[in-house]
Amino acid sequence: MKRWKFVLSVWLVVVLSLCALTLSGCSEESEYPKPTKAFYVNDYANVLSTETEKIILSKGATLAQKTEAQVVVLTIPSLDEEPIEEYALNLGREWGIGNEETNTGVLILLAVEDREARIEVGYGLEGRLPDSKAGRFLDAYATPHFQKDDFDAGIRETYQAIINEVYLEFDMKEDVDPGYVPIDQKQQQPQNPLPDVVMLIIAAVFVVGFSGLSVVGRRRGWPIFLMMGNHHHRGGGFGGGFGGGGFSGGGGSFGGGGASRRF
Amino acid sequence: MKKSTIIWIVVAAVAVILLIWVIASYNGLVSAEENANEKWSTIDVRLTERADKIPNLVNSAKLYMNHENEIFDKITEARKALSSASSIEDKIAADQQLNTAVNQLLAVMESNPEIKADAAVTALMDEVSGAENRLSVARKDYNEAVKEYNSSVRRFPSNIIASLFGFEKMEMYEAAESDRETPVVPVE
Repeated sequence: MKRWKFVLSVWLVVVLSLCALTLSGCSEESEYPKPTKAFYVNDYANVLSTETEKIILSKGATLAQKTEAQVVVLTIPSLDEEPIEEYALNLGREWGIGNEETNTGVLILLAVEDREARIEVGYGLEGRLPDSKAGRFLDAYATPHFQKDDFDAGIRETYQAIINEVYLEFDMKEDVDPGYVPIDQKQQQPQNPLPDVVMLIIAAVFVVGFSGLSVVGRRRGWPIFLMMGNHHHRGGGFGGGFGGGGFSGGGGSFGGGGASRRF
Repeated sequence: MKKSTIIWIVVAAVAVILLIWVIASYNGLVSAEENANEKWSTIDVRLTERADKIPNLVNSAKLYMNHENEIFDKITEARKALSSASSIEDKIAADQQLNTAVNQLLAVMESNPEIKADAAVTALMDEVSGAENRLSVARKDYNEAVKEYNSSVRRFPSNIIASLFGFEKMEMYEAAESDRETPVVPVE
């Protein structure tokens, strides 16, 4: 009477184990830093000013909200012998920067001790931000400052420029900073002079934009964030302002597009 | 009477579990194989993208560097080898050759201040470096996919299903040891 139960139990165990074994796998530990709660700015090399971090966070979050594109900054002390292209790619994929469906992510990576920087562009933005353009951003906004060890200005200007270019690529001219010169026009002569109607519209946008900024402005908005948490002054971090909230990656992936520069 | 019915029910239940496991394992192998095939086609796409960008780079480089004929010859040779490669091993070897030659050219161009000051040529260099990088990512992704597939084929218990249905190991994208060349940057 008990024998068949025994045999059946063994049989059951064997089959279930087969299923379990099939599903088993091992996961690897990551060697890369984790994103901060602020997500868009991650200053692990401690080279950015609080002002710059605020600007990055504000612009990055706004861009993501309007376009689902995520532009993230990461500064690290050292690459630890890893090629910057590899580091940027692996990190971009791990953090899932950009929208999952459209892969619209950009990572600006600065390795301070290695004196190397890279702009890594996600699959979805490769057409709009080709490698040569990424190189031009670095040449125009980053390298001149980095060579003088002014990492703060270099990152800030590069970041703002890229945000503006992404808005331009999404045809959202009204979100571009007034006075911003598109990188394609920075070195060359503009091919077609803007028609008068367009000039009038741009002028109108400037006027509306300036009056809007003075009322709503980023500077007014920030104290509200800070009042939510505690006013801790920890090495330039925002910690207290976020509480349970925070930003995270949209699940985007990268294919190796972008450009690097040594300085 | 009751006892034997119970036995048959249990046996049937176990058989169903077994069947579900067989189907799941089989489908898992198919997905892993399909994924690897997809990554292989990406390599092909990246190879073409790179091939398209090389001629412009070489032509601009020639304007600045007229005594570096050795590198230009190597590139021409490697491109020929790649386009005439028939077997996969030949293709991989030729790709490796071209990759080495292009990186050599880029390294020399990087160290040339006249070239660095030329925005148009710098743009071409960025494009070719980007193409090489994308290709290297495509190779890596393919190898990862093959590794995953191969471990399913070899691991117990899915290896039972694999051999039952004829799933075989796939080759990684690697050049033979003898074809590997250490890039040497010529001293100016």
